[in-house]
Amino acid sequence: MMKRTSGNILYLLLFLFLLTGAEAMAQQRFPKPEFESGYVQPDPTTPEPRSMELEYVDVLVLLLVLSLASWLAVRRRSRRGLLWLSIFSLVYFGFYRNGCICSIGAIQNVALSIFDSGYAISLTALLFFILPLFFALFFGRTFCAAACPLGVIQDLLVIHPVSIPSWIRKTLGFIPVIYLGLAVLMAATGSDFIICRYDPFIGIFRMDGPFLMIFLGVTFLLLGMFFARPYCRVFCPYGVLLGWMSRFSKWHLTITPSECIQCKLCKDSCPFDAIEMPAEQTYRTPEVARKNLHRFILYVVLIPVLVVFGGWVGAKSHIFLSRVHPDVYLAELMISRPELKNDVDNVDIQAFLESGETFEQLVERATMIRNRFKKGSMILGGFIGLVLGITLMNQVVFRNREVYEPHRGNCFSCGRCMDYCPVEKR
Amino acid sequence: MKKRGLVIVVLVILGVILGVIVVDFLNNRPDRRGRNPYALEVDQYRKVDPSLVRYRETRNFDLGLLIAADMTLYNNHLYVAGNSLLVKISLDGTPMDMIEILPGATSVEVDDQQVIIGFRNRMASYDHRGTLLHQWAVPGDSTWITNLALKADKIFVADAGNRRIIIYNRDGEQTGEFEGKSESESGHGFIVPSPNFDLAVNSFGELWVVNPGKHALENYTEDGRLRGFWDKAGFDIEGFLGCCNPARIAVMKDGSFITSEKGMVRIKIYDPSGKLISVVAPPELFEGGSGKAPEVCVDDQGVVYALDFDRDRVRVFEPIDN
Repeated sequence: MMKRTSGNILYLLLFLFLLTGAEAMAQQRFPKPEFESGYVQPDPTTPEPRSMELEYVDVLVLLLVLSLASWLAVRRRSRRGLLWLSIFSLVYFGFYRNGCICSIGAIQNVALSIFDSGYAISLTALLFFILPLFFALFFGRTFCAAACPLGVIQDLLVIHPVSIPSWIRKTLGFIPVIYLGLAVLMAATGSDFIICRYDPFIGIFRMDGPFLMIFLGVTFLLLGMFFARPYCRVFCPYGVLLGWMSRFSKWHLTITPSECIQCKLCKDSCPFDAIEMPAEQTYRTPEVARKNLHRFILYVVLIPVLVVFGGWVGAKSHIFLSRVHPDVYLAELMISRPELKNDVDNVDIQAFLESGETFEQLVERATMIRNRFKKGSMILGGFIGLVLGITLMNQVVFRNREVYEPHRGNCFSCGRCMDYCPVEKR
Repeated sequence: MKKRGLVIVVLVILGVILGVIVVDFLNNRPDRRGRNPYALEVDQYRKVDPSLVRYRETRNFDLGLLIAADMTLYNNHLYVAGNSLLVKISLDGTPMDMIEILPGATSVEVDDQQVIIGFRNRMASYDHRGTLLHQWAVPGDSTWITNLALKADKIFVADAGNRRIIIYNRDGEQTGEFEGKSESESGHGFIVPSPNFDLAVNSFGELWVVNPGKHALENYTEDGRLRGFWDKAGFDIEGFLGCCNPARIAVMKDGSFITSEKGMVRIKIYDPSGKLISVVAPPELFEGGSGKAPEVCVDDQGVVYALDFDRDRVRVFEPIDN
């Protein structure tokens, strides 16, 4: 067994070594100027461009990892296999590919390509966005289990996870929804790619980065020792989409391979609080059922109200939100503080003045962007209201659950719980 | 209780993370940004080792109302072209003669046969009394003539707009053209990002052309074959800095080069192989100006004449040894 494991590691290292050689195929179109001086060129924010062939290799690797992860989670039921596969993904997508391209960030590329006809999304980015969602629809969040380097790096450092009360988890669960909405709004208006800007682990993967990025990465990892996968559970916007898909998954990982014997051994096995208990008898009484029905009707009526209210709040906040766009902010700044035009140290203003564009053109463009924000913010507010309403409604939907099973939306398909189940596969 | 404490710690840390992200996001604005990490800071290179400066400015003279465009030195006289005039000045600054030329001159060159004036996309030749002999258009949509050089009956014209050297005879007929390209890796062709493209013929009859984008001086045969080159890219005093330097050159009697740089203006002397010999004028002598490279000429005694476009003066630099 030991010998086989060593052999696997050797093959893995050999494969990665060969890939480093393939990097030579990716060349910059123009070489950087070579100055014979001590000038140090600042590091770029993204990795070197990659040749098209190697980008397709990335897609192929993702496809293979997702397929293998789904097989290991659903059919083979191997926690060990998932662990090794996740380590491979961490090395490949994290440290070798420097965390870029990633499915989480691809949300923004997709959003921008939908709302900006001038932006053409690459096939690679599109596939990185679609493939994990497609797999989640059939096999659950196997992407989170073994393909996402951000998830894996946190997963490997789970030491003493504590269980968080359900109401806190559900409240925190709104943050990724808001983050997703904001990220789409920012990308769709061409303002910013905030998911990439605040990706906490990029700095660790690239062994370099601004202080804030490193600080966030280290803090998340330290926090993750006690609150497992904090980024995935409290921030990841892609997790929201995966969760929605996974809820409808046809073949999802199960704790027990056949019939649950209610031994409760798996009850505390999930560090992510993603195991749902059998419904208590008290919830099945007619009084509780009637009470829940009343609340259900109330929440159903409340949903349109929440959507409209959210849309109204969103529309009201569009001026504030639109300032995220550099052109809007710059236009406002130059109106409110015209003296800054003479500030030679203000790179943004000087760059604008050098561009040859007139101030009137800038204001016109800023007005157009702000109008787009008005629509977008309204939709964002309505979307948050809708999610809030559905979440409330879900609280009172009675599920006749009699066994321990993973929550399909929240389960990362890591397979830890399977190891706790004493039932043999029939 | 212990677990509850841990949960509170977790929530506090999550709150801190969220707060840090929000604060950073709101502070990442044009009027709240920190230092620009990409700022090009070259102040340290403005200081030049005094032992390298072997020239001193001994005098300078005003050009009056002339808005100078170019200058050349011939037969111990300076010829400065500007406005619609070509002014002949003695080396001590006394105006000697003046001829009327077509407006818009960008370059001038004089030899014992003719006075050749380059305009943006035209050329003209005059005799020494100011009589117009020939004028002709230089073809090309983006033609931008920056400098000239003369050798026997040939006129070499540097066209920055089309990144080429055009060769004319004295009657204005084109006899050749080259773009500095060759099959070898060194023969990339002229890279001219801005209208700073100079050339010169030295006392041995060799044609030297500046390849400003490569920070190189290239030696060509008269039919445009690359014979040799040297290049020096760098921030320090030994190299050429920026997109397109040296912007202007002159050649000394022994084949050495006087180079004049734009941006961080400095005038230096290199031997024919490209080794820095000395500094004529460090950047501090041109502070406060627009950064335009002065036109440079040199006489047989090694005295350097720099046409300072910002001050509209000819500044004279003499070797300290003299």
